[in-house]
This record gives sequence, C-alpha cells and structure tokens, in this order.
Amino acid sequence: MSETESSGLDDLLKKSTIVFKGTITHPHNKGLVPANTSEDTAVVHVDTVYYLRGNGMKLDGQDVLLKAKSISDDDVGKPQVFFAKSWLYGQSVALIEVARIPEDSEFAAKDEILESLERLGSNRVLYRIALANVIVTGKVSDIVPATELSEIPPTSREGLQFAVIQIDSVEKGQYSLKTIKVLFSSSAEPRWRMPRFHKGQEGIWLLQRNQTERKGPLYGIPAFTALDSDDFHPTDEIEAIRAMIGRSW
Amino acid sequence: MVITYEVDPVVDIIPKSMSNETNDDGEPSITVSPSNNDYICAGCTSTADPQNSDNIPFFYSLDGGSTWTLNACLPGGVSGMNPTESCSLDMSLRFGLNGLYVGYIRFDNYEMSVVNLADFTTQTLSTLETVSGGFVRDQPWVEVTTRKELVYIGGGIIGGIWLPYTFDAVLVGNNDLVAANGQTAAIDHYPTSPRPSSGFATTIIEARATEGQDAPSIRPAIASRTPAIHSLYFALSVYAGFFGWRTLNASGTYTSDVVVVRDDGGASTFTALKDSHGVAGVSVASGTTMPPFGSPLGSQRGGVDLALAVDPNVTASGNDTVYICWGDGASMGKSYTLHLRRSSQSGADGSWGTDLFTVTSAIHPALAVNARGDVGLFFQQLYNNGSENRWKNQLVIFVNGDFTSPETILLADVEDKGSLPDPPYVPDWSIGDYDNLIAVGSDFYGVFSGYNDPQTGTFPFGVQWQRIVVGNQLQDGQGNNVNPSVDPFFYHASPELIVKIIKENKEFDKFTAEGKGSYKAELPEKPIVENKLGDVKLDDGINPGYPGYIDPQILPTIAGRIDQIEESLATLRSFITESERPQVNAEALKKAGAKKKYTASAKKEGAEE
Repeated sequence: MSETESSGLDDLLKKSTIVFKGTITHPHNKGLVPANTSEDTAVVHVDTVYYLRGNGMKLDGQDVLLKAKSISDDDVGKPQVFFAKSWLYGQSVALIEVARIPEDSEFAAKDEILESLERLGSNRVLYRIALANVIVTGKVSDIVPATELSEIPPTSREGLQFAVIQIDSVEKGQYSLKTIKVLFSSSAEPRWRMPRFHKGQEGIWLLQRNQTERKGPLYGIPAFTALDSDDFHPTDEIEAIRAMIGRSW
Repeated sequence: MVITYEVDPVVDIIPKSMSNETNDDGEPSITVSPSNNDYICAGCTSTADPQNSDNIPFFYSLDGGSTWTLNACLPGGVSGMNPTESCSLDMSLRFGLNGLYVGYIRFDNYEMSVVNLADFTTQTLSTLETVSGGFVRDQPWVEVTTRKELVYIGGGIIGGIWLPYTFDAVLVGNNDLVAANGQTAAIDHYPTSPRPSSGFATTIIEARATEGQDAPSIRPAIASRTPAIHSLYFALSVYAGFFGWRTLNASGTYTSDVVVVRDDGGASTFTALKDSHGVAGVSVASGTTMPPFGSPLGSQRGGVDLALAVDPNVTASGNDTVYICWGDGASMGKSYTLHLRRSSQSGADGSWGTDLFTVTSAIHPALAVNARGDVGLFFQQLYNNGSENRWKNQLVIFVNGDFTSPETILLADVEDKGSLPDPPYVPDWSIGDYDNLIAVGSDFYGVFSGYNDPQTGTFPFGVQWQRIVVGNQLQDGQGNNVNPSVDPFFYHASPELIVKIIKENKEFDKFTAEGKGSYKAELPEKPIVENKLGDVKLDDGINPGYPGYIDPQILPTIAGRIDQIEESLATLRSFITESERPQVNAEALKKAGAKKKYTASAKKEGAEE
C-alpha cells in the first residue's frame, strides 16, 4: 500500500467507529431501529467485524441498519467492506456509512486496517509525549490535599489532591528536584475523569506544566497534570516510551 | 369519588443492543413531546456512545416509554477515549413546538451548549448557544414554553404591521462560575425577543452577597398566569429557585437562603419579587444549614437538592401556586431533611408558609404539578436493611390538596452502589445530583437512576428490562455475565377515577345473603372536564382499597343496578372527550405485550388486576 493510500485509510478509520465485511440484505428498509429518518436506509448483515471502537459490543453475525450514501438494487447480496460511524442503539444498531469498498478488490481489509490502527495508536501516544513538558518515572510517595486552592469555587475543587512522586528518572524535559507534585482529582464525577493516583503506585508520568488543553477554573490551576488516560503508563512500558520520545517532535 | 394513580412497571432505559454497558448513568432528565405524548426523550450524565465516537448521546422512545433507543448525535465527545471516560456530562432536555432542546456540558472542552433538534431521531441539529471558556457553567437545567405573541414587522416610511408569531422560549438555569462577585445563579434565555436571530442572553438572578458562589442547582419554572404588566414582546412570567450560599462555617457547613425569584418580562431581570428591604428575590427559608459540599449520604453526594414547580391552574385571584422542595441539614445523615412548601400568591414575600411535607435521609427531589393540581414529588430515601444501605425510590402524590395522607408509591428499592468500588470512591456519585419529574396533562412522567442488579433490586410495580437479563443476571448477548451498574429507569403514573358504589338502603347488609339491596354510583360534585382521566374504575365498598374489584360471586345479584351505574358512568365519561383521553398507555401496552399494570392502591393489597 502506498503512503497516500495509507493516509487515506488512516483518515477513513479516524472517521469510522466500525469497519466490517457485510452484505446488504434488505435495501430501502427502515424497520430495524425505530427512527423517523426520511433518508435511505438498508438492513445489512454483518459477516465479520474488522474493527469496532468502544466497549466491546459484538456485532458479528447480526443485522444492522445502515444509513447509506446510496443504495442500488445491484448492491444487494454482494459482500462489501463498510466503513461506518455510530448512530442509534435500540433492539439493534443503526450506523451511518462513511465509505464502502467492494470485498473483491485488492484491498486486504483486515491486515491493512490492523496496520493503520497500529499507526494511529502509536501516534496518539506520540502526540501525548510531544505535549508533555516533563516525563518522569517513579513512585507515588504521598497524597496530599490541595489546600492552597481555597480561592477556587468549592464545586470546582472537589476531590483535588496532589500526588507526590519520588522520581527515579527524568526521560524528557528539564527537572532537577527529587520529587514532583502532580495535581489530580479523586472525584468520581465524570467531568473530573483523569488518571487517579495512590500511594505506592509506580509508573511513567507524561506531565504538562500549566496545561491549556482543558479549560475552566479547575484546569486553569498552575500545576503539573496528567489528565489524559495516555498520560500515565506502567513501568514496564518504559522502553516503548523511550523509543517514542526519540521519535517525538 | 376517589382519585388514585395507576403506575406502569418501571422501564430500564438501556437498550438491548447496549446490554454490555456498565457506565453509571446518573442524574437523568426527561421530556415528553406536547404534540405526541408517545415521543419521550431522556438524557443522563455518564452515558457514552458504546462505539466511542466523538458524539454524546441521549435516549428516545417512540412508544410512550416502553422501548428506548440511544441516539449518539450531540457534538462534544472525545473519540479515542475509553467510553467510560468520554461521556455526556450534565444534561437537561425539553420539548418545544420546534422539536427537542438539549442543554448540556460538552466533554471535550467543558463548554455549555444548547442545541435544537427538529427530529430527535437524526443527527441533524442546530446549536443555539455555546458558552466558551471551558467549565465556566455548571448544571444546565432547561425549560421551554411555546409562546404566541404579536410581532411588529416592517416599519420605516411605509410603516409596519403587527403579526402573530409563534416561537419557543428557552430558559436554561445554570451556575455561572465566573460571574462577578460570586453571584453565580444565572438564567440564560432565548430568544431575547421573538425573533430567532436575537440569540441568548444571561441574567444573573442572585442579588445578595455569597460565599464565593451559589449552589449548582438553579431551577427555572414557567409561570401559568400571564403577567398583567409585561414587556413589549413577552407576555411570559418565569420563576427560578436556588440556594444562596451566604457563609461558610468552620465545620464546612454553609448557611444558605432558599431563594425564589420571578420575572414578568421574558426572563430579563428577575426582580418582580422583592423582600421587605426591596432586594430582588424572596427567601422561602433563611439561614438554613447546608452540609459541606460533597459530603455523602450513603455513598452518594447530596446537599444541593432543590426543585421548583408551578401549578398549571391559575388561582381564582389570578395568582400562580408555586411549590418548592429543598434539602437541608448540618450533615448528610438522618437529620438531612427535604421540605415541601407552597406559595399561592405567585411567590410573594411572606406567602410561603410552613412545611407541607418533610422527609428525612432523602435526596434528589423532583417536583411537578399536573392539570388536576395534584403535586408529584419524587425522592430517593436511604435506609439500612441491617446489612447494607439501600435507596427507596419513591413517588409521593398529593391528591386534591391533601398533604397529610399522600399516595406513596415505591417504584424501586435498590442497593446503594455503583460500578466504582466504595471505598475509595465515596461519594461515588453514581446516581448523580438530581432526578426529573414532569407533568403532562394529568399524567406524571419521571426518570431516576438506580443500581440495576436484578438479583437485589425490588420493583413493586414490576420492571421491564430492555437489556438482556437471563434469570436474574445481566448478560451481554453472548452469554457472558455483565457487572451491575447504575441505569436510568422510566416511570409513568396516571390518575384513575374510582367511582364508589355505595349502599342506597338498609338492605345492604343482607345483600350477599339474600341478593337484596340497591346501590348507586357516587359521582363527583362537578365534572372535571380539564382532566385527562384514563380508565374509570368501580369500588364496591366491600373491598375498599381494591379499586375495580367486584366479587364475581355477587356480581349477578347487583345486575339490577348495573344499568343505573353504567348510566352514571356514561354521564361521567361524556365529560371526558375521546381526544382528552391519554392514548399513550393503551398503545404502549399493546406494543409491550405482556406488560402488566397495577394501581397503587391495588398493589398495597398485593393484588394484581
């Protein structure tokens, strides 16, 4: 596959939540999931799921409703590779078509998709590494309350704490102290979802100083943070992280 | 004549195709389309698109709440994140003439957005408002009312003309965390004149000093009366209730005022109600003690509990009857109390009186008043059964203004748990900060969040699962067990008219033995034309508390009087036109097949119709 084709596949995958080999069985059909859509939909039998983002639902062997870009009667019964994004979840699932490739093309769907996913996955960690000002390995020696944040509205500082990390090594950035304090929230409230830390925890922290990704009173606090699920990694991933630091921009 | 309320089995909203879902779908909101009561939408915090797109979802039903579908359509998710992380945040939904309105906090940038979907089953929407700057607004609460106003079109040399114009007025209560002076209680309102292009405006409704901020629960409610003096464009009166946090005490408790404000000009000033010092906003309760923010009752956060509702019937003197329910107490324990109070004078200072009803160890009040003037109050009450904490999810209906012996309906008794382990996550916040109850005609529609374990949950009126339950075990469709979590549950209560058959002569006592006696139906003193009453039931007086039951053994013996009763009932029914009868239940039940219905009173006797 050429670089251009790879890039095209990457873009399709970014737009898609599911890629599957399937067969249109009932064109111009709306019955599978209750909706008022006036657009053309069809029932598609899912033969094999190549890629499904998310929480692990199983769609192999099931019928789904597809809002297609176009449907002709010639499409019926022909296996095709569908790129689609999520839409409705009822008794069954409804999807919106992103792209469609004939199954008999030279496109080796499964292998190409796996390669693309590997690229995208690495790129995401690379992106987090690039954003990080400091990357350290170490161990949480203490959890201390963020009492100095009393000027923040009380509903905006719920569960705020500092994880004090005893540093083993600095993998990126300039940092000379033995410990580093990482601000995080232990609140279970969804808006504060971020990696949470506990005493004794070991790992690799990709830290931003005074981050600007997330906004608002909490996120405007000057501090080191690791807010993304890819900003913390277990210690045994250090070699992979080091390799990516070398490739990071 | 007796009015009682019939309750359908509660419905777990999570659809079948999401059977492996384990998010804690908390603090739900619900709305029913005024043009078709079968169309219902609901939204929760923490609900995620199972395919982890960059969209945030909500639920809809096209059959009166029997079955539900998730629509992943609202912008603001973060694709690539784990679905348990990228999810909906605070969400509130209301229908208007022009479709569905959703106010929510986006997950990707924490901005508050208000969007409109003409068709809630599609992904097509228009964004009405976006408050930029990240998490600067909290807990949007949407109310919508459709207005018909005269609008002056044209002008200049050729002059203009007044034309009738119909539009949806959208109100969004929210906590503006960056408002000046910590006066954070706010109402965003749209449009500022009856022209769609006029956009949103924000009105700060707090007029007093605060301890850094007001509490997050800012609750608007649409008035029923038309203000005598109103703005050029809006003959619209609006209320709002909130906690003004006044002082923070050394113990972490807050001294708070429970404040109600009103605006008679389309939500532009909220200064119509003033206290004795001339300051805008009246205190329903002053100097109440609020527990430290974030402190738990059981494993759930409380302390910001407030609900507001207006009776759709204007009083004989032309006033609104306004109800408010709030929670207070020095701690989130047994002393934490929900209070229900009422003003029959459009919220005026000094008109709020004392508590009509209280309940302890309860949170998340949801309040609505139906067309009959009956008041519905939902809350979640904590108790310990000796081995574990549990929540009683209860709907209390105050019928015919009786606040001393309300009809109490236990919808669900579930464990105080979520998907996160307790500890360390206490409060685990799994059921969120609020629930929602609305009235449509004489019916109540509500939604609450609760632990969905079929093995330990008790649903006295039954429960209808959409997600896969095998035996008492949640499963994913491939035969794998699924861990319990918190789900949203839908419920629906509608009034029944029970016509009592009362004895007409002294032969009554010999009735069963000798087949003698005569009877008549006790009819209401005046017809209730406005009420959308469903089935009319008989109470034979012999089995009180068991409406609709007449012993088959004795039925033939009263045949001579049945015609008279039927005639009376026909007279009564004639006041209830076919168009006023709720069609939702009948259709929904047909589709639900085996779905059973009970009356609250009947269930108390352990009987099934």
